[in-house]
Amino acid sequence: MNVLTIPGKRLFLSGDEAVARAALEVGVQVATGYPGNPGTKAITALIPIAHQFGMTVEWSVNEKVALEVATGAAWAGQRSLVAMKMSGVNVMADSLLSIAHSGVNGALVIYAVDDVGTYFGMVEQDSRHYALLASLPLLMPASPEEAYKMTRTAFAVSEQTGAPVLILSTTAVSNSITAMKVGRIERDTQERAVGFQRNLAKFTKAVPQWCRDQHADAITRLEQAGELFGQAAETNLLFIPDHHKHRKGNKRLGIVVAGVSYSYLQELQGRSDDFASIAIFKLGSVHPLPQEALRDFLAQVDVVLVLEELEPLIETQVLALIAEAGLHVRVLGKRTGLLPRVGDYSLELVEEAVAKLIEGEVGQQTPTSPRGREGIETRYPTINRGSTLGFHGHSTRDIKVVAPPARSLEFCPGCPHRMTYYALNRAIERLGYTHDEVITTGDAGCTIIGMNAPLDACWTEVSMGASIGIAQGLKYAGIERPVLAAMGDGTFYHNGIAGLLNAVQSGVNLTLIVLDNSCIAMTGMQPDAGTGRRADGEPTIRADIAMIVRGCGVECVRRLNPYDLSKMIETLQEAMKFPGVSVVIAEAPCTTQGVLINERPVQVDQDACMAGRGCEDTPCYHKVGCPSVLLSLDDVRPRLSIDTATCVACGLCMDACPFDAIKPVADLEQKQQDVRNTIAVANVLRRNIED
Amino acid sequence: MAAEEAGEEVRVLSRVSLARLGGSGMCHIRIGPSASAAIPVGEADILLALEMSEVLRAIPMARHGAVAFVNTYRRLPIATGVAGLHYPTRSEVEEALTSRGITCIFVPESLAGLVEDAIEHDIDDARINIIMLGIFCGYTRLLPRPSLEKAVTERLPHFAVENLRTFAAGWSYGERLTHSTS
Repeated sequence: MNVLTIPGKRLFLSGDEAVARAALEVGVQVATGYPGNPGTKAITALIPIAHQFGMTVEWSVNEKVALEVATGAAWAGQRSLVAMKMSGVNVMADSLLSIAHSGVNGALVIYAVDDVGTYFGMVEQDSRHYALLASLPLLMPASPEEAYKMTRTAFAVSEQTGAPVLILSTTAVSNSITAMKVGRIERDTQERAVGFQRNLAKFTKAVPQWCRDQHADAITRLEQAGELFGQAAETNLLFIPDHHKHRKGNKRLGIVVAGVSYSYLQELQGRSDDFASIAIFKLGSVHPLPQEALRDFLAQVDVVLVLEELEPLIETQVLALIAEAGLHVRVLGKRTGLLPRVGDYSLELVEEAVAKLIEGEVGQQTPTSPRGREGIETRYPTINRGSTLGFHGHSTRDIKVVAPPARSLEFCPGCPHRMTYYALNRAIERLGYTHDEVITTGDAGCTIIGMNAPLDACWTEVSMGASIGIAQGLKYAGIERPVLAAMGDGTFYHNGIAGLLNAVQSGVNLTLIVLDNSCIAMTGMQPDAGTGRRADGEPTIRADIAMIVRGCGVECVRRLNPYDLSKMIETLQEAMKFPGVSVVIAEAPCTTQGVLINERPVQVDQDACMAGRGCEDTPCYHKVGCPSVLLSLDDVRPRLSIDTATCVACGLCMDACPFDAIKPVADLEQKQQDVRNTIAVANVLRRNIED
Repeated sequence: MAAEEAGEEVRVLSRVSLARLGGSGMCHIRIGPSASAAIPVGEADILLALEMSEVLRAIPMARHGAVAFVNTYRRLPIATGVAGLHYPTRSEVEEALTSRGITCIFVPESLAGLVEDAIEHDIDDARINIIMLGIFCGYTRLLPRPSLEKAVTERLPHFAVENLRTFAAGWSYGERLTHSTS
């Protein structure tokens, strides 16, 4: 049963799913997005019930297209939703600003999630700035329950004002799960006429005056949205202590807070009586700020602490309000260096900042570091954060006892990407280069795992599809050795094609490897344009990468199965020597499902294995880097074995073994049977001789 | 789900888990009223480690006096072999926990031969999460067994029979631990 439609008034939902449930309730007709964490689960939750409720839900080819599709539906009068992680906001930005200025006829809600603390990798960014840039109304939930309520509010406000509304969540909210009260699914009452009137002054940017008018209209809509946010229950919350309690010493204290920091503040309120004397303004509508209410609030405090993750966006506006109103309020936050601009907040950090507010200890400070004052930042060590694509073995840095081992991401057992990068390393060696002499620019997604040991293949990661442009630039700079770019099929469709076209036109020599597993594997095996099925499982036209590449003008195009290792090595050698742009498409399905590639699973023949007795570098382990190849250091000599529960029999470890000690299990069983037979025959002979 | 069924407020936070790809994952579960799903540093009552060394990463989360259930399953990161990094021994892990005032309960990788249910039904040790859930709940009695069994059934209906058997084996082992430590 789908998590969104389990009977009952209380559902156990994540922040992402809460957005999806609210959208379902209010009658969303079109929902689009691009997979990427955090934020994937909003669309994922809607897909299985799309047909049941007459919705169109799709994984679009990229976030810009997703926004445009959702906008088209909203221009035709429908309610639409588009969802993505923060990187996608950058991708759709060009269309976002244009659409924000045009407005919508129905309702358009944009759900984006900032990975504050970068638990999933990529850029730690404060996407609230896009709301300012595009004159977009912006809501920020502090919890999954608020994500649900704010989504309902966002649809209503978008429909009333014509402004697309941005809901910006963070990892700590979108990945939290809790039980919440939900409303009825009232889609039947949400029927609306579909139509689109030609209005060039609103929907084109052809005339400068129209553009100026649209800008003005966007600002008007923004102001209207701000008024409606102010009327919506629980969007902004205000707590002013009784007059006699409000003074702490000779100062009146206040806190302005937005996002998940409010939940930490709520917890602290339950732990300390000190909060009874502190005024609190919790902001749900971050753009526009409820200026009048905020100004009134600031007029009632002498010192105010601003709690917001990442950039001092609210803090700066608070300072402007104070200056405009001629108030004398001291502001504590990032600009004084008290709080960090990097990483996510925690209860401990908020507690420390509030303690400084109460104690009045904070003098005028100069920011020493974007990470904040040393006192706060180092007192609470990062727990299990680290880059998901790198090592995070130092997370218990305050512990003097043994540390956990560093863990970098590894390809799954039998992953075709491992075969390709392994072949690439061999091809580089055969061309007479060392591993460090040939640059391979990498790209987002599973394929970047090739940067980790022992493959050590990729050198860079910028953004979806950027690897080929970076590679071209390296060649322009004069690097004469081969330069390669590596990206997955999802990345190629998303934003890689333009870079390829550019490289072909430039005439540089470089090789693009497209590691094609026919899906977007990293985020949950969502379909892409090359999968041949849509998000709902229905079959659709399958894009052909080789045809696209040839259409771009690439003459050297090779498509092959990376499990054919010797052919893969030869092909990569050939491609690296080709004058011009060459493309190698390594095509094989993702092995996450654990389906055997070869019908003959393998195991280590311990008699033949020479580990620790002539085979010191154990290439089956150290060069392959497969989680199914197990190395035990408990015995007198290293002992290698294959975890048959996870091995999919790709055969790479067999190829790597110089002593032919890894064999199909069936052969080993036959060998053991032969040995038993030989011993039995020998025993019979011995008895005969003895008789 | 079981806590919700038992009438408790629950919040769960799983910021990221890429264990499938060799990374580490940590999930916070708060039972009882709380505004945030994130457990404050140094306030966790229970640590449940599905891999032996990973409990070290969670130590700062635990309060003095917490209990850690640590499965002795070891997943050596490739880097342990490639870069010659040290994988902690069991005694090092135990010392790290006890030095922080955390009671450490090691759980063997396989329950085969240790509890009757495991012997009778050929329990799949790969269901390490269900085993640990059973052990932890059998030991602490934090939540009613029927609520837990209902949640195990509803969470993955296709594997309900196998998961319930595994859960029962874990529960038995946890109960026995209670008696041996009391």
